[in-house]
Amino acid sequence: MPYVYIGKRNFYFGKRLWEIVGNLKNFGEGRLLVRSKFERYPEVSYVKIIRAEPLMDEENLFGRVLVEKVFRGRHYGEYDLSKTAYKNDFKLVPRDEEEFYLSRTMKAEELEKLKKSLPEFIQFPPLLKEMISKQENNPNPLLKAVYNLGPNNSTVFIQPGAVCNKTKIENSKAPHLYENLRP
Amino acid sequence: MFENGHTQRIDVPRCHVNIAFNGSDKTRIIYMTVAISSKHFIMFGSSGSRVLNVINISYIQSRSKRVWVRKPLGSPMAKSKIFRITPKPVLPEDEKAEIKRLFDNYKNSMKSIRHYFFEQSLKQAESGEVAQMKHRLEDQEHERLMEENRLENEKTAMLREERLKIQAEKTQQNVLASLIKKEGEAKLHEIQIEDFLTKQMSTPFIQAENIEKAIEDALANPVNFNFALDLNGYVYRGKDTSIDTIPEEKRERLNSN
Repeated sequence: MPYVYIGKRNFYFGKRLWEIVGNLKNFGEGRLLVRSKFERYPEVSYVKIIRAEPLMDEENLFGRVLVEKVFRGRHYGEYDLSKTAYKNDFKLVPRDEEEFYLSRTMKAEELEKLKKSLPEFIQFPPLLKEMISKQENNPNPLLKAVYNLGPNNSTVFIQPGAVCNKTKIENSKAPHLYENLRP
Repeated sequence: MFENGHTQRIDVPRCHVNIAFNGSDKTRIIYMTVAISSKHFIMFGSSGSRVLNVINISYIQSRSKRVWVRKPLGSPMAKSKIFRITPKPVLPEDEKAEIKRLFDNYKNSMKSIRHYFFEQSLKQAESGEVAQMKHRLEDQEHERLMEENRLENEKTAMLREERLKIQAEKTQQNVLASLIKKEGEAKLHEIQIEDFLTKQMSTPFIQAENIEKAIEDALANPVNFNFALDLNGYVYRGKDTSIDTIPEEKRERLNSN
């Protein structure tokens, strides 16, 4: 009888970290693992195991594992992966394919090139602009832009003094959506 | 009040009333239900007599006609529909990117505006009329407290002066007493040293003049400090340690205590 799948689809694909690591020498020290969830990005994302200590519980779910994390081509340094190691989403990278991942890890100069320059000032909304210009006797008041500058957003470079004058539809990534738009 | 549909719901405080009419002419009431709680309601016929107490309120059947009541919010999915799972919508890549771009723009703009208003509010809090008043009150309070502090300081300064004066006198007396005591002790010490010296001088030590005689005496009378012990506690001094030559009475016994 063929299998009949019920319920919601599982978006993970692979094995648990502990299933893979348990079969390797020194619990996979120095080996690369890939999470299939992160394979949707064009850049490489992988982890290199520094040290793994499975708890050896019945279902092989828990343990402590320290890795070197590379996410979307960026090196994040040492990282404690213990909390997500139970997810059955890991794949082992064979030794001969490791070069593919290591060569695509970006260096500092490459990261510097990728930085996106963003304007320091943007326009106020029209009505607010009118109000402020009347209040401050300034015909063209500018709003200082605030960007999210978290640890994952290092590709942003704020250009001092630059002003954004574009409308929202300019620079579109899907211009066919605006084809029949009347000005 | 009584318009479209066959049933009309009237919300009376504490209970909900459903009235079912006969067709388009809204003069005849078929039945009326009065909900008492979420699970119980009572059904009345057109004549006003109670027809039945209904517990399951999913629908009511009357004259081969179903009147649906809304499914309770907490009730589960129908058994026949449990495995009906809607697939995830798939968007083209460029549209996804465009949506993300628009959303990012929106997020950044909103964040900037929010930040702007927040800074404005801070500015207003600094320079507004209420803030000025607050500042003035705070300054007055500060001045008052400083004055109070000054008076308190003066008071404590006076007290401190008195206390220090008394303390200085006391220490002077203490120092004098200790000096006198020390002088007396020094005198006593001198006397003790003199006594000790005279005692030392009087003991017959070997003097420099007599040294040759003392050496000769020592050479003439050699002393042997070696001795032997046996298990019974007898001591044999010098070199005469053979038991046979010394009679038992002459042997020296080690004091046990």
